[in-house]
Amino acid sequence: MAEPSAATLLEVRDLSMHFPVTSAGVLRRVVGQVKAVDGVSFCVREGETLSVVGESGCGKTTLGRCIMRIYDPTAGSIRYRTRNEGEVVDLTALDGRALRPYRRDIRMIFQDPYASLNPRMTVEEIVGEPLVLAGHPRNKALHRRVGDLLEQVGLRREYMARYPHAFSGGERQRIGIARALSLNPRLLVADEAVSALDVSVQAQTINLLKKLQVEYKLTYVFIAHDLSVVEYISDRVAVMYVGKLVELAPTRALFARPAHPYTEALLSAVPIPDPRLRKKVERIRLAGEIADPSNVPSGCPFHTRCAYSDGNRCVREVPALRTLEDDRQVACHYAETLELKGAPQVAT
Amino acid sequence: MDETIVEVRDLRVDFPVMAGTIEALRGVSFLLKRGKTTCIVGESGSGKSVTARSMMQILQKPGRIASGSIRYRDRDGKITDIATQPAGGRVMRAIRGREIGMVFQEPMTSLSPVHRIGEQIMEPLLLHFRLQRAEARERVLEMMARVGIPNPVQRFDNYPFQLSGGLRQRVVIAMALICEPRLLVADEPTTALDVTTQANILDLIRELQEEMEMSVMFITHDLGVVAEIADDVVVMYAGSVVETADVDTTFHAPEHPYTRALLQSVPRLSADKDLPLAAIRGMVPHPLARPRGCVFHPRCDRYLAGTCDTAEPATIAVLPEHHVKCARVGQDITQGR
Ligand SMILES: Nc1ncnc2c1ncn2[C@@H]1O[C@H](COP(=O)(O)OP(=O)(O)OP(=O)(O)O)[C@@H](O)[C@H]1O
Ligand SMILES: Nc1ncnc2c1ncn2[C@@H]1O[C@H](COP(=O)(O)OP(=O)(O)O)[C@@H](O)[C@H]1O
Ligand code: SF4
Ligand code: SF4
Ligand SMILES: [Mg+2]
Ligand SMILES: [Mg+2]
Repeated sequence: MAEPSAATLLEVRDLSMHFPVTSAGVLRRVVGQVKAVDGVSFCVREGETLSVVGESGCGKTTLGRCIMRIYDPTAGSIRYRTRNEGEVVDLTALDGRALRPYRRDIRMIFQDPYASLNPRMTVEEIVGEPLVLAGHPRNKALHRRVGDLLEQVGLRREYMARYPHAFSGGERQRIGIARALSLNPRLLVADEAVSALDVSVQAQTINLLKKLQVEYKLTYVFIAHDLSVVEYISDRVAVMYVGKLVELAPTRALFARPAHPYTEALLSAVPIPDPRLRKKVERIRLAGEIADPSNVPSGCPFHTRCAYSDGNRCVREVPALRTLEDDRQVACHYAETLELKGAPQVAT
Repeated sequence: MDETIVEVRDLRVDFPVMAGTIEALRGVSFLLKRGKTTCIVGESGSGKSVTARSMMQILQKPGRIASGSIRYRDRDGKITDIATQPAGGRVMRAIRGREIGMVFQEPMTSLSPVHRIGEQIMEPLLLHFRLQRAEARERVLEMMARVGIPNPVQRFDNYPFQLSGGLRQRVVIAMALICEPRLLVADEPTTALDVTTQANILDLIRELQEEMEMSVMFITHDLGVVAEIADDVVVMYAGSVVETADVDTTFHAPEHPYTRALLQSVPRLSADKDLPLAAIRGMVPHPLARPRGCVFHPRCDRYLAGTCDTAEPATIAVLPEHHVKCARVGQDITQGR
């Protein structure tokens, strides 16, 4: 687990990814912008698990893809501290060949264990491919390395010759993890990596990710929507709402004492697996739907659904992301004065 | 005594496929009570959707009900065995949509992309009742408001693509409820939705159920959702019902090792983060290669050679309304842990 003072591995500053919206028809004029990620800033500390949560379409995947440089962000910087003592590079300023060494350091685990593995490749080819692309010769050593990686993720070496279709969802997810580990990465971006798995298999995969983190001193950016999983696995949690970061805090503090009204509403909506608590907890319900990222409301993007909106400043002025005392960042005008409720079963 | 509205007994459903016969349901029995919510919970492939589809006679091919009964008691107390009714017959057409409404996981599978949503909600109404269009339209607008669709008059003319996922699911619920069915069968209706939207939809189903005194069969794999809405719970594993009980018993005094293991494997807020999650070892068996004896035995921490891997365990009633399918239940379950 990362100490509060742990070194920063990655620093995202004012990052934006705006996609053009084009009109239908032949001319395809640009008629607007989808602000999928809009001015997001945060740090990822070495060895921690930072989770990113929020409703569908709030920009989690887009953020992950910007960090992976699958997308070219439209603004901002992603400062990465390299393995060379003290050296920091801006990933957004690099391309092609210059980016290659860092592509080995930062790897991704995908959501869909079915779609993300090439069905025509054997497990050995899938797991070994990043190594081969990085110049590793196809020899006995490669074969051994793939076998070791499979054992690391709890699969038998003998499975190497098989094709993905012969594996269950949980096993395919392990193959994806072995592949991501092949180049000894430092940072893994896991986009909904356990969301599609059944609970019993999900628990195995979460345990595996935790074990690997300790063994390889890995740092995780864990994108997810299941808040119980997030609470279990993360050191800190970042909450997004229509492309913006609205709160980031250490997990315990965020769940016990949220500082942003949207975080409070999210926590309040999590079903509690105990029927005896059903009637005891008072729930906050959000009216309306998540705002449209191509037509973001004025002022605070959450004001259209916020029970605490003052109808004045909240509607006019965009709240800046501020740092509070307890290692927390929040973007709400009234963060200090609101007394918000935490998740019902978490003691303060 | 609660009135039973559906009694499913020993239901077997097969899918004859090239590689063999998939026994999707291997003798499933449970009751649905009038005005209550029964959750069917289980991991993927356990047979939840096949159970739901059997009750409407809408199994996908090559599925067929091999044996067993689904006894439905209608408004007048008359009992119909749905299991023996032809899918396209008069009886099923009268039951589907009118007596039993259905909501699926992905709202777009129930909606036509090319028709206005108001018209789609109206369709079952015109099918089952003799109504003037104007009157039917009024009822549709009323139902749209009731399921929380804002501005029904304007929304009436929208197409599904113009709505968010949460609003689409509300449209599907409006369609399922427009004829005021006595039973709502909902197959993972909130799985594709965000937690905030899910919370609203669960509230809605709960409210409508109370207002309409409807029975609900709610299928989910999310134990949190079960704890929020169920009166009774049916736990399924690999085509069998392994445990049925009221919701409090299911969560606080479960007897089946699978139910216990499932409850322990869910991450819980405020649990000790340094302990690994109590995962169930191994995985759900392939439907064509299910183990002998108790299907759960290769993964069970109570497994006893000679007892668990020989014959399929019988289902016994540990209490009048608590049924468990395990050969070792009754033996002190804390032993050997
Ligand atoms: N290539 C693209 N072109 C245009 N718009 C896009 C593109 N990719 C994403 N968007 C839009 O950006 C917003 C954020 O999308 P993103 O996929 O990052 O959401 P998400 O938080 O990952 O959602 P989910 O929880 O559903 O995975 C959405 O409104 C989406 O429609
Ligand atoms: N159309 C089909 N063809 C063949 N097998 C099917 C079909 N539909 C379901 N099955 C099988 O029936 C079993 C139960 O499936 P299902 O009811 O969909 O599970 P779930 O509990 O996830 O809803 C599974 O073994 C599945 O493979
Ligand atoms: S700034 Fe205003 S509208 Fe936005 S979250 Fe805070 S109180 Fe609500
Ligand atoms: S019959 Fe045996 S293997 Fe099956 S659940 Fe009971 S104890 Fe476990
Ligand atoms: Mg996504
Ligand atoms: Mg299903």
